[in-house]
Formats: sequence, structure tokens, C-alpha cells
Amino acid sequence: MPIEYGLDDGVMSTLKTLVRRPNVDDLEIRLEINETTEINTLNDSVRHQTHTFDVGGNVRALVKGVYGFVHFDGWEHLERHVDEAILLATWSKECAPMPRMSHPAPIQMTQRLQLKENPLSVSSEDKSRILLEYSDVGHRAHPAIKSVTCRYFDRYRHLWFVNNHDTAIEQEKLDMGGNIVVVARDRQGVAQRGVSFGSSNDFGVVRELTDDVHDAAQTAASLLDAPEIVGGDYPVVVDPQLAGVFAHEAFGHLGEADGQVGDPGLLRQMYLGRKFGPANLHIYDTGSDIGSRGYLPVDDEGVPAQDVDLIRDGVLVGRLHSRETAARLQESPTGNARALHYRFPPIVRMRNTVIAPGDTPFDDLFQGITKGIYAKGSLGGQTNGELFTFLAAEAYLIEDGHVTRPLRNAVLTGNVFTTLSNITAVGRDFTRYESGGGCGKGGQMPLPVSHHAPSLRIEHCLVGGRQQ
Amino acid sequence: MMEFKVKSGELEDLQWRKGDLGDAIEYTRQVWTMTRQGGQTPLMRHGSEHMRAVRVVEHGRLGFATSRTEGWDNLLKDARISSQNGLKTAMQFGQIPSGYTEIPQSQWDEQKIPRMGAVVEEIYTFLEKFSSEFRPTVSVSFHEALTECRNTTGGRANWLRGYWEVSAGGREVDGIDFHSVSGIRISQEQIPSTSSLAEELRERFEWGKKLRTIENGRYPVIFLPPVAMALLEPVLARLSGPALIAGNSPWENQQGTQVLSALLSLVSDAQLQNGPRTAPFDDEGTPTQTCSLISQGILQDFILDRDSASRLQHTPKGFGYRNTLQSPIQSLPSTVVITPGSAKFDELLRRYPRLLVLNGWIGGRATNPMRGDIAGNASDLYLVEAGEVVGRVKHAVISVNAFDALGEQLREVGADAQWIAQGMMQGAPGYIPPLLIDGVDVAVKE
Repeated sequence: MPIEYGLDDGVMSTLKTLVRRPNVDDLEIRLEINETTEINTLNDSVRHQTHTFDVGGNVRALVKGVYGFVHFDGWEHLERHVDEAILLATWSKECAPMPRMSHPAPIQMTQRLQLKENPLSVSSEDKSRILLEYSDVGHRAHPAIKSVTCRYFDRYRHLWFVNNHDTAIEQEKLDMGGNIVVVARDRQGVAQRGVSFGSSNDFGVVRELTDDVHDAAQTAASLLDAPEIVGGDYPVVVDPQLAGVFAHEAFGHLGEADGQVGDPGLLRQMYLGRKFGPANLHIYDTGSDIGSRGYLPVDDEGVPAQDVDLIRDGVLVGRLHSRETAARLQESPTGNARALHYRFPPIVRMRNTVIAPGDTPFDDLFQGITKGIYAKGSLGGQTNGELFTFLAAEAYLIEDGHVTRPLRNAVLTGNVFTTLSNITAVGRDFTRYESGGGCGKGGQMPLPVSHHAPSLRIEHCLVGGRQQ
Repeated sequence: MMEFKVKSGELEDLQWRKGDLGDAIEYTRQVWTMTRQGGQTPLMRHGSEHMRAVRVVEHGRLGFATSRTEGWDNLLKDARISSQNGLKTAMQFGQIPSGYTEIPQSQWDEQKIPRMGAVVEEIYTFLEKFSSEFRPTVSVSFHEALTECRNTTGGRANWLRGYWEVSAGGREVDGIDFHSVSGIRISQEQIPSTSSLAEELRERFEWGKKLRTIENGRYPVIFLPPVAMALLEPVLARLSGPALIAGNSPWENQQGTQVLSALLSLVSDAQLQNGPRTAPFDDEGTPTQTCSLISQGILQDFILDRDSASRLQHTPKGFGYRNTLQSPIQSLPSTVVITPGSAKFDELLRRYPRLLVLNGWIGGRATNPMRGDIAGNASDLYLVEAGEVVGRVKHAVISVNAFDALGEQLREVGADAQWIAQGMMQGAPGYIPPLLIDGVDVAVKE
């Protein structure tokens, strides 16, 4: 345990007393202590370094089909906050009755961190020094490198969660990550490439990036005079990092049940048993992958994490649930209700979204492609359920089965329902990639998630770009 | 059980040393939101947040410390320690104009809650009638932030920012076609009138009922305010302090030079009525102003917080904002305003025999903001023929370079400006009119 706050069991016993209220269907209280370190460097200097504590909590009450939610800083006046949450729930007009939610078996647990290298035991000076060394590596790699920006964060969370169905959880969590962005600039313009890292149990991942930073700098310089992709319909090979983002954006969000409830049209499409992709496509979401940023043994409603198969053998077999969405669709909660911080109520989110490895050797992914795109790395993505876009960090032209030259501004888009069925090969090169970014939804960003995947080949991918 | 108090000590009690250079700011932010979405449990939420921040310059280095609960003296001590490894700075903490010493009264009134509920129900019911399978989403919220600032020159000021926001929309799923509409209204004084929002959503939904196909090619496109705002992000990035300091911005020496179309004038306006950031000061206590950034395409000024301004030897003009209470001060505009033109939307529709109207752009953000290339999947795109909207277009990727689009490709700036809320990917609110841009590349899936 990195920090001893000297808190006694008085926290739990106080919360257990506070959740005993009559005429409230569900009542939960969550308290948190968060300790965060953030360091930003620019070239050879530390630009920003903070070490902050967040102390606060929230109360969520469900009364006759309406939620009241209150969040607060500090640990004062807890009884008053409970009163307010109940009042807010009863102030609203009563709506359609909520299906009775199942209450998972009550949990009484205390979970301590088990770390490889604890970031909280590494001094800020050492963290800054490591970042500044990477900055130096970037600058030395190529004369066109104009700037190297490094961002590092770690956040230790100590949480107490109690509900009125006898669940009481004391939990420690760690999230850490960051990125190193190398910018090259010359008369042709500006190009950038980044290295991203993340973990939930090991500062050691920060210590192993020298080669990656050097490669990123070389790549940024090589992209300076790369021509822009000509927009159109291409076969595309995506590397494991981008394939992971693809799984997250192109299917994971659609599998979140809060996007499906109340939508009869979508539920007709998302019926379990629907064929979505090739027979060797297996996509699942897991909270049990120790060390990944999506590691989440118990969610923020006190539900133990389930491994959820979303697509198995190319067929839709599951979805991601909170307690509420599970009740509305008469399925079981999956442990996917997550809140970024005590300022937010839990909503359905992914954890570690995984595409299982296939059987195609890497070189074979390119066979038979006359003209296509090889896309590597990710600058993020977005979806509205039906459509998705992801931004590749690097792109290369494939000509006659060979990768030939770099291109810039690779934006891959598609329709979720049709693109999965256009996957024609799943690589063997399964990679556990952890980034320092996060997922955004409902104003809660960046939530730590992970994507683990192999390379994929996708036919008929619509690629953005200006006309020739 | 241990208690962590939010207000442990008063700002007035902070003991500066003689000769200190610094400031101390306390932020208190409150939000009340009522949300209703088809198929989900309605939610009424209230949150309060506090953040304390101390900055101090010692031996020419900047130190700072922030906390939600820590006492002022400890924060000042932490800031002094932090300055030992801080950046070298020439930042000044100048006089604060008088007249802001009273703590303003909150504009929140709990009697507004029933009215919020009524507005939510009114729009929700209206949207439900779009079709039997339309899934509405409505939220009404009131945001208020009190800032209390003291600095070592003896300056003190307290100010309040608050605004109402109504957002509404929804979607109908037919087969694998998602037909979505959304819009917002913002107002400072009261819950905004929602009749125009409801009518706008109804009109868009009607426009989209019929699907039309188009061919690959270059089209004139009207970028409606939400996507026009996305085009501005690379522009704001080139103007911002960190990019200039890092030497990444190609505009670092371009003040007084034509960088965009002469049709485009861009202002950061902290005095615009109903602006979410409209207030006498920014988040670091610098008096705000209406500041021309680009006038008729000519670069006028940069977006610099106090620290960036000192490094670049500029005068700070009130561009220091926190995106969230826990994020550090950044170089950001107050409200981004494109000076509207004279053409109403209906007139813009008639400028070309055939054009497109873009209102939604999945992933429409720059892969490299300094370069400005943007491509995104059009999620809300309409075909216009002879001035009439004839249907919705699917499976199209819109690709532009923001600097070209706002430069040689910009044909006209519309008159009908709308508020755009600050968002997860967007550092400032905007008040933006439609932009008519020619020669936009559109790739269509066959």
C-alpha cells in the first residue's frame, strides 16, 4: 500500500449507518481520496509539475424511478448530502416505473494494490529526469525535430463504497500513463509522432521507451514531405494498436447497453445471435487483466467484473451492462458501470477490449493487395454508434503486396455494421498495447481503458483525404 | 471518522512574506442538471467543487500548488517548494481593478428546479412525436462559478460566471441507418427559450427522412456552427502560447500578415452577452477584453495566458482559463466569435445550384493541429439542390485542410450565429455562424 492515511474502520461503519434510509429503492455512498502527480516537460525543461489531493465523494439515490445524484468535495455533512440526493430524486416528475434491478450478492471486501514498481515511491525529480532524457533522445534523433513534449501522470485512488444492499468495498486503484510527442518542422510544414504508455501496476513501463522515442522522431521527420492520402475505398492493414482502437470505437461502444435501451430500432439490429464478422473474429471485454489500465475487478456499482464475450465466432453474443441496463434488458450485470471520478455517476463503459489472435502470419496480411493502406498507431477515434472514425498516427501505401512509401493524414472511417464483416484476416501478432490516453463519454474523459489486439486486414475501408 | 473540510481557513488569512510575488485563487463551481433519455432512468444531479490554487515566483522561478481541501498556508508552503524546480518566468502579478471586492450573490434559486423539469418534459414530449421509435435525449443545466482572487500587490477581486444550457436531440434507428439530430441553446439570465431549438430539430429531422446519394468529388459545403467550430481548432492551436513557445507554430512571426481569408474575422470576446465565459476577469485574475485575433484574415494577436505572455514579452489580455477545475491554467480564448456576415441561411442555400450542408462530423478533428488536415465521417450531411434541401447523404468522408478551408476556399460567412458549448474536445465555447466553403473533398463509399 503506497500511503497510509491512518483511517480507521469508522469510515465504513459511518457509511453503513447513513445508507439505512426508508422509502429509497437504492442508495449508495462513495468516498474517495485521490493523490495525483502530473509532470509536463517541453524540450529541456519542466513546464508544469503538480502533486494534488482530491478528497470528496458522492451519493446516488433511486426513488420511484428517478435518480438523484450529489457530488461534493471534502468529507463533511455527509448526512446532508444523502438528504439532498434523496430530495433531488423526489423533486423530479415520477416517470415510467423502472424494472426491478437485480442486486448482485453483497460483497464485503478490501482490495489492496499489488505493484511491480510503485510510481509513488519514485521521486518527482526522478520522473522529470526520465522525461527530460527522452526529450534529449528525440532531439538527437534528427535535426528536423523542433520540439519534444512529454506528459506523465499517476493517480492513486482510495475508495470506500457502501450501498443499502449490504455491499461494502474498500479499494485501492492506481492508474498511470502519459505520452511523448515529437514534432518535426521544416519549410514543408509540420509533422508529429508520439509514444504512449500506461499501466495500472508498474512504473517500469516508463523506463523502457528510448528506442520508441528515437523511432518516433525518425518517423516524424520522414512524414514531413509525405504526400496526403487520396481519399477513397481501400483494403487496409491495421497494426495491433490501431486494431485495438478499432475494436473499441467500431464495436465496443455499440456493445454498451445504455446506448441500446429505449431504442427498439437498435435492439432489432443488436439481437444476440446476429452474424457480425468472420468466423475467426472474437472480441471480448475484460476487467481481470492485471496491469492493464482497464483492470477493474469490481465496478463502481459494486458489481464484480465479468469477462464479456461481445462477438464469438463472428456472432454477437453479449453486451456491456450496468445494473440498470441489465434490468431493462433482462440480462445480468457485467461489472461495466464506471465513473471517472467522484464527480460523476457510473455509466456503462468498456475496460480492456480485446480482439483475440487469429492465425494469419503478418506478411500474409498484405498478400494480393494491389493498392492499399497500411495504418499504424492511433491518434484516437470517435463513434456515434453507427459510424466510426479513427485517426492513424502513421500510414503507408501498399502496392502489389509491399509497403512502399509514407502518407499523411490517414483517417479511416466506416459503418460499424458493415465493416466488421469486411475483416478478411486476423493476425497472429497479438499485442498488449497500453496507451496513456483514455475514453470519453458523457463528459467523463479520459477514463482509463486498454485495447489488446493483433493486426487486421479490412477490405473496402473508406479512407479520408483530399482528391488528387 | 476523519473529516476533510472544504473551507479550512479563509483566503484573507493567507500570510504572504514581504517581497513575495504571487497570487491565491479560490474557485467554487456548482452545476445543477436534469437529464431525461429514452429508456433510461431520469437523473437530477447537483455537484459542488472547490479548488484552491497558489502561485508564487521565487528567485525568478514559478511555483504553484492546488488542492480541494488543503489550508492556504500549507498550499503556499507547497508552492514555494515547487518553485525550486519551477520554470524560469518573468510573470507579473499586477494591480487588480477596483470595484469587485464584494462577493457576488449566487444566481441559483432552487425554485428553478420545477421549471427545469417542465422544460425537460416539454421538449421530451415534443421529440417523442417525431416518430414512434425516436429516442429523445434532453438535458437542462445551470452552471455557476465563483472566483475569489488575491495577489501580493494587495489586489483583490471576486466575480461570478453563470449560464443556463439546454441540449436536446435524439435518434431513430431504421435498419442500420442512425438518423440523429441535436442542438443546444445557452443563456446567462434564464432558462433559454426552447421553441426555436425544437423547431430546428424538427426541420432537420424532416430534412433527413429521405436518403440521397452523391458521387465522389469536390463540393461547396455549408459548415454549420458545430463543424465550423472544429475548423477553428487548428487556428486556435497555431495562436496559442505553448505552440509559440515550443516553436511549433508557423504563425510565430506572422502578426500583421494575411493568414486566412479576408472574409474571416475572429475575436475572443469576454463581454459577449450570454457567453459562458463572459466575466470581468479570466481564471487567473487578468482583466478580460474583446480582443481581435484575426481581422479580415490578418493576424492581429495571440492567445496567451499570463505565463506565456511573459515568456513572449507580450501584455496578458485575459486568456488564462482552466478547462476543468483540476486542470492547470491554459492559454485559451474566452468565447470564440467569428464575426457574422449578412447572408441568412436560406440565402446561403441558394448560392450554388447544388451544395452540401454539414452539421455532424465523426472524428472531425485535426490529426496534426499545426498542419490542419481534418477528415471525418459525415454523420449529419444534407444535399441541397436549387436552394432546397432534398435529402440526407450517408457514407461520405469530408476532408479539408482547415487553413485552406478558412483561406482561399472560404466563399461566405453566414449571419445566423449560434452558441457552441465547450466540450470534451473543445477548450472554449463559441458563437459561430455557418461558413460556405467551396471545393471540399468528399469521398463516398460505393
